[in-house]
Amino acid sequence: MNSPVFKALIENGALLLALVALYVLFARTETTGAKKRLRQVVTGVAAGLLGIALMQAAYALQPGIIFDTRSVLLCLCGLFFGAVPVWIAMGMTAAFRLYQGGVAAWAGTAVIFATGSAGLLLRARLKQPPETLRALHLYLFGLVVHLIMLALMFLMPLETALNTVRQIGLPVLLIYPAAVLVVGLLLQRSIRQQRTVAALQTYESTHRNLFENNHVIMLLVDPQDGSIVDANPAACAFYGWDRKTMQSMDLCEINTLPPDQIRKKIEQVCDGQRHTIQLRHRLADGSEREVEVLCGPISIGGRELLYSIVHDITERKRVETEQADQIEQAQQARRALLSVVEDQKLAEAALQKSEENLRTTLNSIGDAVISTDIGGRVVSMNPVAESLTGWSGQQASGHPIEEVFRIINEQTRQTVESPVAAVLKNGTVVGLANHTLLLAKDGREIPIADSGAPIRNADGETTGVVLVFRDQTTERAARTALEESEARYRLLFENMTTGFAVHEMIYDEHDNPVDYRFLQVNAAFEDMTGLAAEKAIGRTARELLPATEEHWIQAYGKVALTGEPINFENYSKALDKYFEVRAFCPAPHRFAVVFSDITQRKEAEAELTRLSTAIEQSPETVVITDTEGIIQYVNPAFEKITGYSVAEVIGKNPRILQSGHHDARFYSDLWETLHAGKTWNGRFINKRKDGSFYTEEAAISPVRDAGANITGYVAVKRNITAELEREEMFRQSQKMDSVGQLAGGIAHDFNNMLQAILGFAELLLEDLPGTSRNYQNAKEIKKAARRAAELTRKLLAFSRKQPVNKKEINLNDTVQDSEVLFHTLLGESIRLDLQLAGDLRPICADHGQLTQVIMNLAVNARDAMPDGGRLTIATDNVILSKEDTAVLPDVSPGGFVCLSVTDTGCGMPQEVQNHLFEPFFTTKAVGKGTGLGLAVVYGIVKQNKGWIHVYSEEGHGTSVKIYLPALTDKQTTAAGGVAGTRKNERVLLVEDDPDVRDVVVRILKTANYQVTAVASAEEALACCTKESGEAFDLLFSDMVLPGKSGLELADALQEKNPGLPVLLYSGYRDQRERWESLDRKGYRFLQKPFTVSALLNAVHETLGN
Amino acid sequence: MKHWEIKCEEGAESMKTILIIDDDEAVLGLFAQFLEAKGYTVLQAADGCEGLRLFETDPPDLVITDIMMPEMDGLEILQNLRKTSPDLPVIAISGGMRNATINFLPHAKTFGACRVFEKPVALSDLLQAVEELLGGTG
Repeated sequence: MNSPVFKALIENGALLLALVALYVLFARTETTGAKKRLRQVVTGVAAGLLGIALMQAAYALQPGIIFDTRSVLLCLCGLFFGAVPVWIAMGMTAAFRLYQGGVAAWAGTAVIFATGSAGLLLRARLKQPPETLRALHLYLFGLVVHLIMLALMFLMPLETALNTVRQIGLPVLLIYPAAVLVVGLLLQRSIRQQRTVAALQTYESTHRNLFENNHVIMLLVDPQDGSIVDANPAACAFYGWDRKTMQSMDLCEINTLPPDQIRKKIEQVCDGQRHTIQLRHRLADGSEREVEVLCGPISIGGRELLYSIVHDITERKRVETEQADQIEQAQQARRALLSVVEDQKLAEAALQKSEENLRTTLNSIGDAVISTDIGGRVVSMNPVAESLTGWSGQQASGHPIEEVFRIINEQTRQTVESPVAAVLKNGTVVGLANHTLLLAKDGREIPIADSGAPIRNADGETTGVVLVFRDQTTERAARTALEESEARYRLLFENMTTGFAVHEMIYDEHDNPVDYRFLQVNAAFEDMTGLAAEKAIGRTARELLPATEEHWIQAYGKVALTGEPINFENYSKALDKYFEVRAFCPAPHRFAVVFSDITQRKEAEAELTRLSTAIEQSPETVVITDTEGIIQYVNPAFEKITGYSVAEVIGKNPRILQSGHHDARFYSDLWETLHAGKTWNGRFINKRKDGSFYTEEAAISPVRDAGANITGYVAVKRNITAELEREEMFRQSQKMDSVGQLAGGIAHDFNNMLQAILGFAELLLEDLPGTSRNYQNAKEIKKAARRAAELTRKLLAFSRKQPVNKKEINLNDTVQDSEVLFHTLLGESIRLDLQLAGDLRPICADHGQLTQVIMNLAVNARDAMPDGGRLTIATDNVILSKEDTAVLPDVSPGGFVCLSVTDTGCGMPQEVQNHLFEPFFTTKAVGKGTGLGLAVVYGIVKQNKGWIHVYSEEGHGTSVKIYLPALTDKQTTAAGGVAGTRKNERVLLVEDDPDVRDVVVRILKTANYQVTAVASAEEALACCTKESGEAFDLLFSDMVLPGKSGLELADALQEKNPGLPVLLYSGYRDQRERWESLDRKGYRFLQKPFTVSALLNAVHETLGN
Repeated sequence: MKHWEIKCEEGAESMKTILIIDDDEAVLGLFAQFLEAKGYTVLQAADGCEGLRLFETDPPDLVITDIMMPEMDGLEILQNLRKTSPDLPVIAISGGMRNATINFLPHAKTFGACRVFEKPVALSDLLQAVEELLGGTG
């Protein structure tokens, strides 16, 4: 062992180590492209110079033969730096060796090339980076290289070579491989450091890109004062402030939480608690948005900051409930991943911290992130990306992005160009088209949306692409649901038959609602109001519908103010319609109405109300039954007429009203008709609840439903009992009149005949001796004639043709005058009771006639009480109303005097009562009565415009009441005088013939009338104008006059004075044709020629006497 | 009866003339026979026109007229008689009128009848009136 050799070789090795260490210290991180080439050249030159320096300090075994550590340098240069540096280094060192010359010049040059090539060869054969070579391998590599070096010594002359190897062999093999190991380890470490720095730089660049180009809103905040350190462009776009402004702002300006709470949150985050907080952030335009903020501490450039990743979740909030679980799961997964990441121990603390922060950022965001290298190969991906693609980061690393991130167009199913390619091609940020589907490794198809952006290093060179994308499944579903919902509601809004409108309320300065503006209306609104949307929207109710009533505005004003919804129905005068309205408040000072036009319903209701009111108020009975005849409804008239209440008859059969007057056949006919679907008309005699009978005229019809099925029956019935009674009374009256006419007609002739019979009998009596038989016969004739005359007189009285002397009398006087007669008439067994009213009103009547009436009634009463009893004769004043007299023919309401004659006798059956006043009707034995007593009473009462009421109960007695019109005060003063003719009655006579006129005037004046006579209608009218039509009591005119006719005159005068009595006369027979029209007008007609008595009678009757 | 005989004698002495107007033949004959038997000269007319004609040709001392007669009735006769002979005694007798409601007897008085009777009148009542009226006139 040659110690100087060892020493020299170790020194040269130490020099190599020092120089390499120096190089490593200044070496720059790895670069790419042109810079890389330059760097390789620089490295090569440095290695060359290093080699030359080593050769200068070499150990010279003998002149020309030197040993140094250039072999160590060159083999490691080839191994670690590649071809370019090593060839440069080999060239430079070889040239220098040849320049040194000597016996070993060529062998030394060969060693240079052999060792450099050995490094290159190993580098090429290695499957791993040389910096990862283990120490043993490095040592073995050094050993092999230097065995080759020793072998190359034999390029020198053999003896020199053997001598050299003998001297240098051992030291070389001991020292040089060790030097390779030590220098190699140094380089390995240096390269690893450079790689780490490069990776870090890539990371920073990636995340700077993420920060700058991400659509995710990111903020960096200084935890000390809450000021915003930086905001990415997405944040600026979101908040609406420019970046510079944002960098000068404080969190309090965007966070709606109170400052103390913000402070507290920051402290929590600084303590290492990452937070996902849901907040409300304020934007530059003053609006507020719901946001989800993920924040945590981050160290950037040695400065402890807080990062905030802000998601606008305003829209998402709408589906938040549904997503809550998913979000929770996602957050759990994220936390798990974060914890995993946290656990990773990185080699260097500073880098570790920085990387962790950056990774945390990456892992924390809700979006998937994949970064690729410049070749489009996946470098890294965050957990969300792993989850979405189905690839783990490890699996994916180094794979082309197209494999990991497979995307197709959702509609065409065609493969879509990877955004990575586009970014690499254009070097710009690209967004994904809509409808992009990500095909996950496991076959899932996930709708995504996002963008790709280039990763640039500090020098602005693109070193890769970062791809950020998001799972849109939930958003898509939410949006689709929202769109569908919106479409549905739009469809509903446009097609709903209910009117809908949104309005803005307008208030005056006192906040009172004064009008409202249409903001939105649907088609049904247009149909119902007749207002076109384009005309209505933007205009106010008062502008469009000036007749809008105040109550609408007040009602809506309240809704818009209080927010309380209302429902109501009301009439709109402006639209002439009824509406059913629901109004509610969708936003302050606004109201929406949903309304229906219910005009038809209202009208139908009103119609129904009218109908039901009509039925309820109808005087006619209405009964509705079901098909079985069970009563379902009766109206109030039914209750009034039958005496049964509604409750008593509902559910009963109408047969409760049956009186027994109709046989079974009657009812079976009725039902047969109804069952045949026809209407039955007829009369019922029914029984009231109180047992009394009444007659009703009924129409019973089937009630059919829409399907024409009979669902029941309706009976409309009119109570005609009173009508029948009135008819009967009228019929009776007519009959009596006929009989009266007959009696009156024959009386005149009878009187003449009786005059002859009586007179000749008297002559016979004068001639015959009083003892002769014929004298007696003549006497009988005279007696019979007297009786016949009396009968005639009675008939005349009955027929109201009896000459009367009417004057003002007091009925009490007449009764009292007759009293003396009663005692002889009634006998001992009958007690007379007079009840005379003290203040009895006077009447105008014939005293004698009334005496006759009283006597006749008294006689009948006496005959009804053969065993004695009491006869009460009473007088009284009575006032009768219109209703009281309605059932009595020819009786006017007013004041009456009542004479009642009441006995306690046997009474009369109804049959007798029915014929009571008929002439010759008698219940008395033959010869006991003429049958004219009550007929005379009837005639006299009728002649005095009165009437008789008889009430009789068999076994109890009879009461006859006679009502006679009482004189009014005015009549009292005018009444009296002669012959029933009131004095001073004024007659307007119109007659163009002066002779006739004179005659008539003389007759009328003789009969005590006041007469004004004129020759024409015109004069008559002038007369009336001048003197006033009311001054005349009668117009007595010829029908045929020059100019206007008598009839026209009568019409004209009656127009002025409707009550004026008119008596027209004419000689022309054809005027009879006009009788009917004259009768209708109430004019009387007198046929010319007329006798004086006919004239006076006509005037008398026309005047109403 | 006695009274009647005295009157008869007085009547016979003066032979007063009485005009009777009545459209009923029987009544006319009755009154004529009765009054003639009482000693009066009787002129008979079956209607008003004839009555007035007889009155003009042979003026009577007294007229008895029916009221209800066709064409010219008793009232018209009275009216005419009153024009020419205001003081002539006239007795009016009414048998009633078909379907008339008016009582003509008071009218007859206003038209100038001195006495009025309703048919059938008792002959004695009639004679008494005639005698009173003629007696009164002389």
